[in-house]
Amino acid sequence: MSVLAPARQPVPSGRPPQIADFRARAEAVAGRELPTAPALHDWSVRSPDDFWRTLLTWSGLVREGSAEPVRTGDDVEEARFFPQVRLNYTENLLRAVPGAGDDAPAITSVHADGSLERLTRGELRTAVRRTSRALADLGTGPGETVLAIAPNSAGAAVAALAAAALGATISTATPDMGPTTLLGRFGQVGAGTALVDRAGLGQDGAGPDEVLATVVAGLPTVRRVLVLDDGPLPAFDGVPVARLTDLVAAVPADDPGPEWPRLAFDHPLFVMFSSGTTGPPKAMVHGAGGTLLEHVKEHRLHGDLGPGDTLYFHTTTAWMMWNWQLSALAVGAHVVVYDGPISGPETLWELVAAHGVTVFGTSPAYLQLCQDDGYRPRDAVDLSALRAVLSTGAVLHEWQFAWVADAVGDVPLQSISGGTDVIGCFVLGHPELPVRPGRAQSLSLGLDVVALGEDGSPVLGEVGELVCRNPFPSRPVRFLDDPDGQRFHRAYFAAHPGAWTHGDRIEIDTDGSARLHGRSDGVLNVNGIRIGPSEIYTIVRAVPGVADAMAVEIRDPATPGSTRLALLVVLRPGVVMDDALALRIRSTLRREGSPAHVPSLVLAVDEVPLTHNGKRSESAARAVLDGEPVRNASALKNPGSLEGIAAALAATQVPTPGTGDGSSVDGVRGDDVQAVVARVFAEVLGAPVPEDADFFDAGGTSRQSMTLLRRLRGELRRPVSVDDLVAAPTIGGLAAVLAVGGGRDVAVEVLREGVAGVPPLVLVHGPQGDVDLYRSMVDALDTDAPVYGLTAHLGTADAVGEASVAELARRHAERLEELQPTGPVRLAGYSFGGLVALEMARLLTARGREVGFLGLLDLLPPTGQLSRNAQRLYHLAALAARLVPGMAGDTVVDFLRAGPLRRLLPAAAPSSPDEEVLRRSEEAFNRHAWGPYAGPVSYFRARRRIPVIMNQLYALRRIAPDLTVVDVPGAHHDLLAAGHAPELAARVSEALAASVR
Amino acid sequence: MSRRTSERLVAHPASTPVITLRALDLTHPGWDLAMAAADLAEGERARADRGVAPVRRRRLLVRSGLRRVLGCLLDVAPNDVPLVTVDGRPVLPGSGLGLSCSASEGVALVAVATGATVGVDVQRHRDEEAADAAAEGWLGPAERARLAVLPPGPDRLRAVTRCWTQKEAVLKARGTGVRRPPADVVTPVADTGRAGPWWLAPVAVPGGYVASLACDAPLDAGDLDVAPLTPGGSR
Repeated sequence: MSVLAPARQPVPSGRPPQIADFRARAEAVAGRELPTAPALHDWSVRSPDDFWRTLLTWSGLVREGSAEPVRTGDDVEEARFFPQVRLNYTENLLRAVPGAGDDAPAITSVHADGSLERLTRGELRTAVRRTSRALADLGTGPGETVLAIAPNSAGAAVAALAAAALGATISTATPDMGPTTLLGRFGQVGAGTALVDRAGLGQDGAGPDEVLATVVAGLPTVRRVLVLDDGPLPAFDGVPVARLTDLVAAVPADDPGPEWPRLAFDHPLFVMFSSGTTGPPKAMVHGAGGTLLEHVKEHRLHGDLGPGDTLYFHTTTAWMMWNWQLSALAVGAHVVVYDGPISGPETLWELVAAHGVTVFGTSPAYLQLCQDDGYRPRDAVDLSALRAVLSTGAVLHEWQFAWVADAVGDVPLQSISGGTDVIGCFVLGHPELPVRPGRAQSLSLGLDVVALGEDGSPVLGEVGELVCRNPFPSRPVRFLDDPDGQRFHRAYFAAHPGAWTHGDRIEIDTDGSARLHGRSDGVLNVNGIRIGPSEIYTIVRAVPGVADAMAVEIRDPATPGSTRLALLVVLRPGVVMDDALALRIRSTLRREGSPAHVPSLVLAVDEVPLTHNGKRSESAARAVLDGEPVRNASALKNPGSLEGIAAALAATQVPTPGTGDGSSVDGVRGDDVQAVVARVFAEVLGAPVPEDADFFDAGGTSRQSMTLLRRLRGELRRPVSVDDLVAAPTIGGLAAVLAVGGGRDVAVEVLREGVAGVPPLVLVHGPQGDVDLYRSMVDALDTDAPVYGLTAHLGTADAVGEASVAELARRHAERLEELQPTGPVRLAGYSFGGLVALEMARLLTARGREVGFLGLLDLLPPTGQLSRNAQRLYHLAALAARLVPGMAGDTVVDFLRAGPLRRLLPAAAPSSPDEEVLRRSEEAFNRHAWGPYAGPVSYFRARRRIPVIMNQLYALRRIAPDLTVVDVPGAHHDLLAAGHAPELAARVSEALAASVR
Repeated sequence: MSRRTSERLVAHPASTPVITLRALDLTHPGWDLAMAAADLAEGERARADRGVAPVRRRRLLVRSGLRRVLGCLLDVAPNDVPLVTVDGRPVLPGSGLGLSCSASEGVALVAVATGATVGVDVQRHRDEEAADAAAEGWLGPAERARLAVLPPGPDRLRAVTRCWTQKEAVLKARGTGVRRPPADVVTPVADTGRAGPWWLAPVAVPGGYVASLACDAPLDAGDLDVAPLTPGGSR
């Protein structure tokens, strides 16, 4: 075992951490020294009765009854804790705690509009007492379940604490989950009372009351709805509705409130939901004593949280971290809750600063968002009160530790991980241990957590199955709808008899630090949210044309530890998977499920893999999609299904044949061209002119030349450039230039001569197929390299708007190989061109070419690669950008037409060929499914951009991890403008030079 | 003879440029094309003669006007001004003067700047022409976005023509003219402002026209003053 590292001073006041006090008590019980963190943990799992009894007495929780026996046995599945103890969860949260008297702050509720409520411990206790009177008068008490659909606000906390005080069982969810998800969860709990805050309940055109009516109608046991918000009361058939504040207001001021009964240690407190691989979400009952004792242990011993601390953990009421942070009241901490959105990287840090938060809990995703946006909390806000940052929900990467140290300050970043199933954590922070980047500091005290290797024996320093080998008090009391306990048994105890198998993969080091490596079962963990595949089947099967579906979490090859959701869909006979159907599937999942339910990949297959006894085999499908051998192929009834999956996957990775091959545009050729040019000259100049007359000599102005070029492009359906006109400004000359077949010959344009033998820099055309946009930058480049531009002009066989991004990339890659058969490839492209260049780099690398340089100029991710929710935010942010002059590229109206608000607008006028090709390019861009690229990428990012939402760098980082970001002047649309070109060129030149060193 | 004057001019670098702007009413019946042609050098005359009658008239009068303005500054006869044409633009070698000319239908502008590079452009505004601009590809995305937030109607269309003149003025100042695709010059969609290193200012021209000047040195706010250059005026 490692020696104890020097303890970091955890609190500025210099008081010793609470765990030191606990250790002294534990040493007295153990009769020996427990000087190090691992020694204390070792004792806690070897002498569990002593540990849990000592913890209960040391914690000072209010209780009745003997602490003996501590446990009813050694069996992790059966053992009950403290059968003689009776307590009340709410009473313990609101009791007087040394150092946190009635005047101490208890809860601060920050609302989306910036308003806030703050309650002292005394005020909170009074509010909960009065609310419990109102609920008791309605008959709420032990045995009743109260459900709450509410955002994370003080109102929700007060109502939940009041119901819990009376012995009722609480189950919470957020309004934005959608009726299907809400019913899937609450349908099992048999709640009699529904507490509802309607903010955010409306969805996809249905008003909040409409959604609520659907939910109430689907929950026949609900006999009363209590509204928490201020809106007009809705009316439902047979279900009375009242406003909770009205009922509380009617309670006499001097009413001491009803008695809060002290109930059994495992009296049901919360019903939580966790997704399994089959059936509806598991509804698990957590006991009051186990929840309370575990939370007090984690807060005091691992988080060193106590009076004087202010905790903000960013959560919703649908996540166990809500219950966890609520319990911080029991240790005397001040809890901040927030029901608004994250509108930028600054949102939560400003909240932390404004409220003097000492312990801030967030997620890896939020930290990455801040990092990618270049936001530096320590430079922006006052973080002097902050002493720890906690993170959970997904894998926290090493570089994020460095970022916190640099951009936040000298505070520990504590990675914690556990689960709803245990309403607590298996790995946590530790006030006495150093933080090792990428790792959680410590195993949870009292929990015998180990990693099991392939052979079922514990392993250290390698990844194994996370199990807990001893009983723990926060084990669920039982599942609902599971009278014989078989479901409960199968969920946790079947895989490794005698141990709780959590379904996570973990690596534990000899120092007790640990790192999680994702799920080991079929449960999907999408962005930290666990989703049962069955939730997805239920929703997708309702989509017309869909016969069956299988959801699989597959590896994202570019980022170890990161995953994405793939959906296999079996269609009804005669139904074909097209963009519209895929869109319908995704939007239905978003609407009925949540953004996390929306798959990245939708594949149509003939059948899903089934075992001989008819069980669906996600693991087989997952292996195929991950490109791994299928271990249980012999167990499958239909092994041919695997080939179908492989074929469907392959089809997404190659260009669709049959589109854009050959010229699908009828170009105008030969003599016809001359006739067209002559007619257009005459129309623009107002009179016929001789074939050899110079346009400008004949009276044409430069302004008119623009009109001339537009008319020629439209009539000839091909590009006509200023250069063409300047080179041959007569009817005859221009016709001769334009009659030369379709422009295939000019698919590679020399933008700049360079030194022979230096590998060229190849730039990929913009959305209109030309490379004119690069000219200013190319002029200013400081390089010996020749610079070529790949074009795909309208009217040519390879035109943009005709071909997919993958197809353009394939043809350009071939062209590039002709142009430059050997040597390192150096590619760059702006936006659309960047996406094509990225795909080319993938193809060329796969062919064995060395891609020495890939420059992406402000490439934003195709919206098809963003989650539905991200797309919506993206769209709104981009709309906002259009209202800020100079922030965006196309017009507000164009943009609205492309988005969900299009029905508000009159139909668009018929578009010109130029607009049409732009529109088609944008479609192709957003449809493109980008893939991983392991090579180095230089990303030139526009400095001016709408924060956060328009910054989707994390999406790119996921596929191209070797990413160097260089900030350049300008916004997305004017990065290449002449004014910004010199600095951009300088940065590109530097990156180009660096790439050969 | 001209050398002395030129040296005097360049030896006096202006911290703020001195810009001489003259406007010609090309429709004025008093213009004498033969006299104008006599001001021009051989090559200039040949180029003018290639144009159809209105183009010839425009080229003769504009180039003659430029020579008259320079002749005044240099104290020489217009025909003696050692003006050359480089890549289509007028240059007075060694003078350090910035020269630019523009004409549209009945209005022409001549700009001469000391110690600065300038480009000038005048354009007859037509609503229908401006309305087609979006499809012509010379407005950049930023400009389209900025235009889109203007109320639809005459103001927006006039702003399109303003964009055009600013873009042309910048291209002329850069010495490339429309031989370069104008979309890479991003104009502010305002009467004044910057486009990269160029300051932009409106030039007062008769109603129905829009004119702009681009300069590589700061310009005072407000329309630039223009003095008319009339037939038989100062020589």
